[in-house]
Amino acid sequence: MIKPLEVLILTVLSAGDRHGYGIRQDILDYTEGTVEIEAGNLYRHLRALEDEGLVDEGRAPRHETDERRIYYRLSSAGRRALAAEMHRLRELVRLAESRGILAPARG
Amino acid sequence: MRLIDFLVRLYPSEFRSRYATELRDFHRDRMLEPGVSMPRVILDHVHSAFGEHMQSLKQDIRFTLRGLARRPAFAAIVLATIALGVGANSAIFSVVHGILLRPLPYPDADRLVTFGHKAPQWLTGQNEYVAYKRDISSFASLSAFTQDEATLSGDEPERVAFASVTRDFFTTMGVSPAIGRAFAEDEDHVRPATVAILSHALWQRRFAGDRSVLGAKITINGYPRTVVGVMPPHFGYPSERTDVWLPMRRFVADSLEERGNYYLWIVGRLKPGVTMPRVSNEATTVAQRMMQDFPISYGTPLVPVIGELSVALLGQTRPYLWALLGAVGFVLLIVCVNVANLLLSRGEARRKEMALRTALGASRTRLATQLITECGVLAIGGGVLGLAVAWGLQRALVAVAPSSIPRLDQITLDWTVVLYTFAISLLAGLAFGLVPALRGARGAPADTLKEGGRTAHHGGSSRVRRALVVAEVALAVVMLSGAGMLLRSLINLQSAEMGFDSRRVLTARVSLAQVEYNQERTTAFYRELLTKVRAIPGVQSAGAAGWLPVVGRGGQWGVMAEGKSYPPSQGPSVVPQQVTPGYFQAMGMPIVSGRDFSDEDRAGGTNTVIISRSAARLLWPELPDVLGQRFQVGGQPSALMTVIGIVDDIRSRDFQDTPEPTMYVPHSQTHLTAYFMPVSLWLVVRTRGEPMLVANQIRSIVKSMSTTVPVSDVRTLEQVVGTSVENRRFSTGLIAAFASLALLLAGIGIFGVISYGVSERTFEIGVRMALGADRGQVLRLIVSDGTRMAVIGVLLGLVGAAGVARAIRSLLVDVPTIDVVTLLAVATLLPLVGIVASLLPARRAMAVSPTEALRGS
Repeated sequence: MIKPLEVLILTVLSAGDRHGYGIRQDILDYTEGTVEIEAGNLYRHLRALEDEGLVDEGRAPRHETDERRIYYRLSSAGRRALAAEMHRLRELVRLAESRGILAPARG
Repeated sequence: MRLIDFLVRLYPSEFRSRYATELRDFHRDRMLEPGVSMPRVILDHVHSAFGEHMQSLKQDIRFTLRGLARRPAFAAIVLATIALGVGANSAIFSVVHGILLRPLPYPDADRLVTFGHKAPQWLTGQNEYVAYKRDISSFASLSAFTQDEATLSGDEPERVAFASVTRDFFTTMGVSPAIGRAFAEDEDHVRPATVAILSHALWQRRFAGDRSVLGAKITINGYPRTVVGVMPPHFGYPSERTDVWLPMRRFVADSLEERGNYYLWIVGRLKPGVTMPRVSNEATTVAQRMMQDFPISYGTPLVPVIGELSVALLGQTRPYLWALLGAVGFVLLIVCVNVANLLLSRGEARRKEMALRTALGASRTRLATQLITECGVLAIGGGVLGLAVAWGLQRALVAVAPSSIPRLDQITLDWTVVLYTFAISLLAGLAFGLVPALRGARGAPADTLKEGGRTAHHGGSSRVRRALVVAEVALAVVMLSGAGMLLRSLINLQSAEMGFDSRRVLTARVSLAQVEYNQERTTAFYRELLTKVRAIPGVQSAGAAGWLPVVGRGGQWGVMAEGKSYPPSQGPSVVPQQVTPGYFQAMGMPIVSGRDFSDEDRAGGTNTVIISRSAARLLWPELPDVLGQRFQVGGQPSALMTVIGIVDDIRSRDFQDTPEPTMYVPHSQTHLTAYFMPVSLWLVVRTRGEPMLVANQIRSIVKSMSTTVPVSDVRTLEQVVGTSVENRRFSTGLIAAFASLALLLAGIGIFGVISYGVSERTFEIGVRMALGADRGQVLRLIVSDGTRMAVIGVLLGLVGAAGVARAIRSLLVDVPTIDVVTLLAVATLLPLVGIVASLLPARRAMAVSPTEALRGS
């Protein structure tokens, strides 16, 4: 099982490589300002994700001004793990729907 | 930016080296946002840094546990060694804490003092007490008391210790009864006292803790008394055995007896802020004024002695307990050295692993942290096990400790002891971890890796290990010589002659009630009792006396030889003892000249007396033969007594006591010649076999004569005499046990180092044997190695032993500070241990086959 914040980070990275501060901004946008992650917390999670091989470090894309910065990239293992986690969550949601805890999503 | 640099530094080095720049970049961007909450940013970093540290600690611990699990024997030995050392320390600390360090159970106990006089008065008289109480301003209150034993009647009559106390006794101590009340204003007029306060223990024992005991009547020494209060548990003054407190009659100025009768004990409470010198000065001034006002009453000067109550209660036990704590401290040191050695030898085995990890990029600090974590885990694990050891050891100690050690019931494993245990465990962990950690982090990885698979003789580390073993032997020498000197002191003490023969003698206290037994009935009772006791098969002789050596003492009475006159208050004084016929035989005290008492020495006949040699010299220094001479007890004129016999002097308190001049008055005449006849006597019965076997017969004889007479304190005379040295015997035994443990640990240490050395030197030994060395030479090589370490250790230890001897000087009896006998014994013993410890590895070395050894490399 992956921690909720790590799921968020992985999801953000699935859209493209980001540096640390970029991850914070994306999470802010995505959650409409409710999840505001600070540096220490973010890098602890990045450290854990890197140790597990779900995230790789990479160079900045060419159009970036600051080429020194490290960009984080979703590894293929990370992509699989994220997919598996999402699958697990979908099954959970289905179960919740069948028990009447959630109204079934349309479409 | 300086802030972020500081925050980054909080993280563990590994995390820092990976993310420091990132964190700074992040921070720069973050600061551009509007409305940044700095506390939030700082808190996030602190929290994360802490989390990362815990994470790496968790990893290290997991790594350590895995490593230990791989080598269970190593882990077990280390943990057991630490547990033993820490456990012994905690157990002894719990004793020291319970007895010495914990405050006395009285509020502001540091303001409580005992008040007495220098010899020969020791105690205080009524007049003096009243004067001190009135004239010394330093005391908030000053209370007097006397102590004795009494018979508490009931279905099973019982002897109880009681204290008669002045009314302000409980306010002085600062403790009120837990239920009921203290003595009231009008209750100290009446004699005998009609009210009593019970101890918590007696209340539980006799009345099952029933509150209806308040107002109930109990019979003490034949008089009914109303119980008005029960003291809280642990209130044990003047003695832990005190079970009943009675009000002492108030001293009214007119009724004051003449001066010179010193029988009061005094305890006082100082006013806040009063120093000991100040109160002593005041007391001395009052005493000097009394001596000026009544010069005739004070032939010998009256010198007040004031001391802290805690010293009076615990002073005797204190040096033994500190010596014990010192001894276990040494054991712990040796344990540390042993464990350090074990870790070092394991460190050797892991040098390649460490070198590999360094080469793969693990930092030095990282590896050192890893080693320190390992020590921490071992220390805490050992501490937990040590606590279990302490728990068992402490219970065993309390169970076998002599009851004369004060406050035994205060000894518990409380939080202080637990904290102490973990503190010393961690301290020990630091001590035994330091050397291996420093060594482990040092050394170039390339060199180690280059050595390849061959275990070369690694000079540096081996030197450290040998030095540690030498230190261990030195510590053991110090402990053994200390223990040896204490043992010799104990032997010296016990070999001193008491002056009587304590083998095969039973003693017991028989207590008649004053109200039921007048002098005639008392005499008749004891005559009949002794006749019946002598008829028991196996009894050789039997007698009785007013007090028993070691247990009691007879006081000091002024006496006057017939026809002599003495300057006031400067006449001779002797210790009085009241005895029945048969007493001297039963005690094994031969009559040196003259005759023993018989039943003919009775009231109405000639008043007779037997005196000790020193009493004879004191009374008639000019006469070679004093038989037939007469003297009388001073003070009120009493009847003259004729000396009919002389006995040898005895020590009546302990083995170090100087015998005092003593007079033995026949019990049946005491009321005529020596003020009063004691109704309670100590039975002394000499048997042919085991004395305890006749105890029950004596009990049933007494019961058949009267159901109200309790028989108590049934012990052999050897046990009675033993109580005078039981504190010393107890602590000396413990110290000797700890010293043996130290010796064992030192032996194991030598064994470990030599045995490791042999496996290291297999190649060398193989070469030597291939070159023609025979087995004997190999044996000598190995054994001399072990012996050499022992000898160097002994030489160092002897220096330390001199220091320890100085520290325990006050406990030594007839043993010089540099005790050649003990030191020689220890100096021979340890090299022997060295030889034995290296024999086993040496056998292994002799079995080395040259071809195997050379090929194996």
